[in-house]
Amino acid sequence: MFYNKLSGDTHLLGSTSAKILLELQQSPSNAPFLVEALAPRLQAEMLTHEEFSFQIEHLLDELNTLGLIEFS
Amino acid sequence: MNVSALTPSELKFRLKKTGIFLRTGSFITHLQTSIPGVSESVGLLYADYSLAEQADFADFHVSLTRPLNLRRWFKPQALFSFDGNTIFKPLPLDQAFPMLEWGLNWCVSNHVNHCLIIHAAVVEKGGYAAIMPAPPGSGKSTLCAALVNRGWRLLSDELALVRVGDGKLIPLPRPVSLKNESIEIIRRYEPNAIFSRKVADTIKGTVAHMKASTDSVARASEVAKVAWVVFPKYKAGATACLETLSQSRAFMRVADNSFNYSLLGLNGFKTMTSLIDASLCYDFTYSKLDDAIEIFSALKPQT
Repeated sequence: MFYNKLSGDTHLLGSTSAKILLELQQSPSNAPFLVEALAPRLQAEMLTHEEFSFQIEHLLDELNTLGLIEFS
Repeated sequence: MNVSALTPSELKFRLKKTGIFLRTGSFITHLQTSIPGVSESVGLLYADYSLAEQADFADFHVSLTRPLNLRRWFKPQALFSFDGNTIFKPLPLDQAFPMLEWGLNWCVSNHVNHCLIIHAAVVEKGGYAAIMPAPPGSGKSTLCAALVNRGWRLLSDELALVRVGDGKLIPLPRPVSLKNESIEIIRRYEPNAIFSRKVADTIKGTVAHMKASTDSVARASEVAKVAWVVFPKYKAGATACLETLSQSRAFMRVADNSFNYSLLGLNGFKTMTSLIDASLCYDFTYSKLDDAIEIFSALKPQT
């Protein structure tokens, strides 16, 4: 569960989205770095690198739409 | 002094003249009315409630009056006022007591923000409370009425008050609102239960209110610890079934049933988090009350 103090909205996020947010909470990052950092933790070996990258980019777009992250 | 210390005519006189300062849970309501049916129902269902001194602070000042219009003579009506302001459209005079109950719920759900308020019944046994959030028609109040007639303490049949800060449940034991078939079901289930007169053709159909037990009213200042969040669903012919629900799903569903979750902001989130963390969460389908009682009796709190 995530609470956005700026919007007052509560979000129920999947585990991959939650890990992205926690990673970004540590420091700003980019999609390729997140893919490298999260692949081992999310046991992404069942996916190709492209599939996992696509998934991360898609989730980043969704998190941005929800106002939980900001692209710069 | 309890309401029962007043004779019916004294109660009627007081309600008409100065009003009464009625303690319901942690709230005091200053109630005035000259409508005889309301006075009778208050005398019947609120007999065990204590009266505060006239000069005491009141959380809510409410009155039920008869509007001074032509309908006074033809299809008379009742009007609910809060702090002297009319809140709802008038209803037929016959519906004055249900209107009072609905109005009192409105007073709490719209003004009490030191608690997270959830549209839910709350019952307690052995120091552990079950919150039952559910939309109208799910059988929440029927199940609640059955449980409180089988040894559970009533905290509320309508409004769960979760104290911001420590997550404790604040009791608000008031009459249990039953409608349509549920009225006779509970009458048969507990022939000693005390009911207000049935009122037909309300917005909810036929309604009647069941008196809260004397014990529940006497323990109205005793807060409770939540142990379970149960989403009840009556389904004709269904075998009683308790299914585990993930805490995250339960969180969102309880939030959907809350009156002031968003209003409380971060405090609402923190209160809801501590509530769900302390609870085992279930979906519960039932058709027979005895089966439901048995399943609730077997509930164990988190270790």
